[in-house]
Amino acid sequence: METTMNENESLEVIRKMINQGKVNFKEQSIFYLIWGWAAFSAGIIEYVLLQLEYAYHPITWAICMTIGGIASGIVGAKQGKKRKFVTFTDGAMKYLWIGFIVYLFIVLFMSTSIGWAASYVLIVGLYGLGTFVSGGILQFKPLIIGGISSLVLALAGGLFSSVFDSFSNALLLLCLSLLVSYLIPGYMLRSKNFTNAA
Amino acid sequence: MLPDLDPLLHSQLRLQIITILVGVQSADFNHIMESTGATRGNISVQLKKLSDAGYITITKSFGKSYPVTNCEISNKGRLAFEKYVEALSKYINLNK
Repeated sequence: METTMNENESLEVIRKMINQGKVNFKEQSIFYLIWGWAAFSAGIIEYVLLQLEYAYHPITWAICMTIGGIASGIVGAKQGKKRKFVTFTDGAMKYLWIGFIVYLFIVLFMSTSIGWAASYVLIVGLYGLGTFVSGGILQFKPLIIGGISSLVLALAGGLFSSVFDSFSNALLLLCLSLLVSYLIPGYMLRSKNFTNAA
Repeated sequence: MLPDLDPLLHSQLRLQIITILVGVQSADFNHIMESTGATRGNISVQLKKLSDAGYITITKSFGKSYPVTNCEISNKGRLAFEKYVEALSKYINLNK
C-alpha cells in the first residue's frame, strides 16, 4: 500500500528511521574483556612461573589464549545469530582486528630473531594501536586514552634497555598495557548503558 | 523553480526502508520489518520496486534452517536519497 506524505512528514520519517542503526557498546565491550583477561592472566601467571624458575612458563599463553579464542568464538557466534543489521562501525572494526591479528603473528614470528622481550614491547605498541583506533571508531574516550597509554608504554619500553633487554620486565609492561588499554576501558564500555549512532 | 521529489522515495514505507539502509552497511528483512512496523508482503513489494530501480541490492542466503534476505543500499540509491533530502530542504525552507 502506497502512503504519500507532505514535506514535513517526509522529514519526520527520516528523523525517526535514521536512529535505527546504532552501535551496541555492551556487545562490543565483551571482546575487550575476554581478550584482556586471557592475555593478562597469561602474562601474570607466566611472570609468577618465571620467578619460580619453572621451565615451561610460556605454556600459560597456549592455555589462556585457547580459552580466550573459544570464549570469543562462542560469544561472536551468538551475537552474529542475533544481529539483524551490520553497521559501518562493525565493518571498520572487523578490518582493524583482522589487521591486528596478522601483524601480531608477524611480530611473534620475528621473536626468534629479535628476542621475546623486544617482541613484547612491539606487542604493547600494537595493543595501543588497536585500542586507540577502535576507541576513535566507537568515539569512546577511555579506549582512546588507554590506547595512547599503551603507545607511551611501548615507547618507554623501547627507550630503556632495562625493559627491552629483560624478559620479566617486558612481561610486566605487557600486563600493565593490558590493564590500561583493555580491562579498564572494557569495564567502562560495559557500564556505558546506551548505544551510539553508527 | 522547485525540484521534483523522487516519486520512488516520496512514499512513506520506501522512504523508511531507504533511510534505514543509508545508516547501516546492510540490514536483514526482519530488521526492516520490525523497524517500519509494516507487513511482510508490503515490504516485499516495496523492496522489489527499490531493487528494480537499482536503489538497493538484495541478497538471499540460507541461515541454519531458514532463508535470510539481506538488503544493501547502492551508490545510485545513496545519491537518490541525497538528492531527495536536498530537494526536501528547499520545500521546507520555502514554507518557513
